Amino acid sequence: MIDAVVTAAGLALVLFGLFVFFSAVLGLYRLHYVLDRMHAAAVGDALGIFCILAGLILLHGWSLAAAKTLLIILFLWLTSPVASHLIAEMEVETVPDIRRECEVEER
Amino acid sequence: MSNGPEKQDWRTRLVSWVDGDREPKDQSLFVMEQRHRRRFLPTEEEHERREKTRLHRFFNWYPVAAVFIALTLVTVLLGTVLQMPLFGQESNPINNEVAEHYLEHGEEDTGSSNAVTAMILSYRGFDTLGESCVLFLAVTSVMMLLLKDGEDEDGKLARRSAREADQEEHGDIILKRTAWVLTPFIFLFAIYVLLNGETSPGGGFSGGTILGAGLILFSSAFGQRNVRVIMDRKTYSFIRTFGLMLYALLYGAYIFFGANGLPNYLAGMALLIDLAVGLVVACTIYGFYALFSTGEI
Repeated sequence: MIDAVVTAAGLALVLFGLFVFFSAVLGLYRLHYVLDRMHAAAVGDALGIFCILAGLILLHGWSLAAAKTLLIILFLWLTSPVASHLIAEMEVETVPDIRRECEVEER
Repeated sequence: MSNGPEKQDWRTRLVSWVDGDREPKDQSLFVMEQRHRRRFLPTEEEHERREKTRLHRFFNWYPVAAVFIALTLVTVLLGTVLQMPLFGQESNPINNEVAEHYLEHGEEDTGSSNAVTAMILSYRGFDTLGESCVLFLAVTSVMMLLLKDGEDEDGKLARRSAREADQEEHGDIILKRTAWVLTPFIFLFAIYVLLNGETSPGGGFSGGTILGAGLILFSSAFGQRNVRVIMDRKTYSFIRTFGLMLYALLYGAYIFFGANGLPNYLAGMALLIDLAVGLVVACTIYGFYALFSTGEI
């Protein structure tokens, strides 16, 4: 019984992660501005990766490989937002009229 | 010397010779006409015109030469393709026992349980040595092109280092924190992949890439000055050369002692060769980043 529930949850997570990645790729192709596209890509990097890897952990069962997968999630969640942040900062640095287009937080 | 009015008596001729001639004599005129004409350097316009005609000639012949070379190359390559064995035949050289031998006897032949490592580092080690040499040469040529000399004008250097310090001061706090947390783990993982290539997926190339990427992350977060604390240009060159020399020496020794059916005396050799390849690859990647971003190492 509990096995069936875990498998179903894993499948659901993987499918949802695939859907998230699909929307991220769609956004990458449909959106044209840097920050919009960054937003779309960040969704896939954070939520999509987490859902797919968590689903794989559930489907595979607890093992050393699952622990390594958790480490991969941790690494990606640490690095992907930083990359997005740097891209956004570069956009703010290089576009002169950015403050007329959107709000920029001053630091 | 012509006859006629010049035929004076020898005394007047001697006097005129001693005094020096006001006017050139016939002989000297004759000699001057026989002489080669002096060629002066062409003027600017003339030079330009000559260069232009030369360029015109070159560009007239360029398509012809290009078509000729391309056709020759196509002929040679197509001829080579025609000589190749047909696809899917049983007697093709791909269907021989080499692959099976690699898979079955790889462990006892080379002492590494990872078949890929056994192949690229032992059976086909010269190939990998060539690849390492290519990486080494690539970094060397990029250094020749882009490396800034230390003996520059002082003002320029001082201004540049001030700008660098400015950049470091404005460095992003988020990036700095993340790099501060992640860099040790990246280096740890790189060493793990490097040293574990003998028994598991990994090895010199992937481990070296991770090591170089960690170095790039560190230097982009904290500035190259802090990387230079542990690795200045001399150390960098030493590590690079050391890796390649270690590989060449070890593989040469391996060819003489371990291969050719002799017992394998160098069981841990794949580990050291992995390390050497990793050093070369890491130096290559970090060197490209450092040279293309600031021109210094």
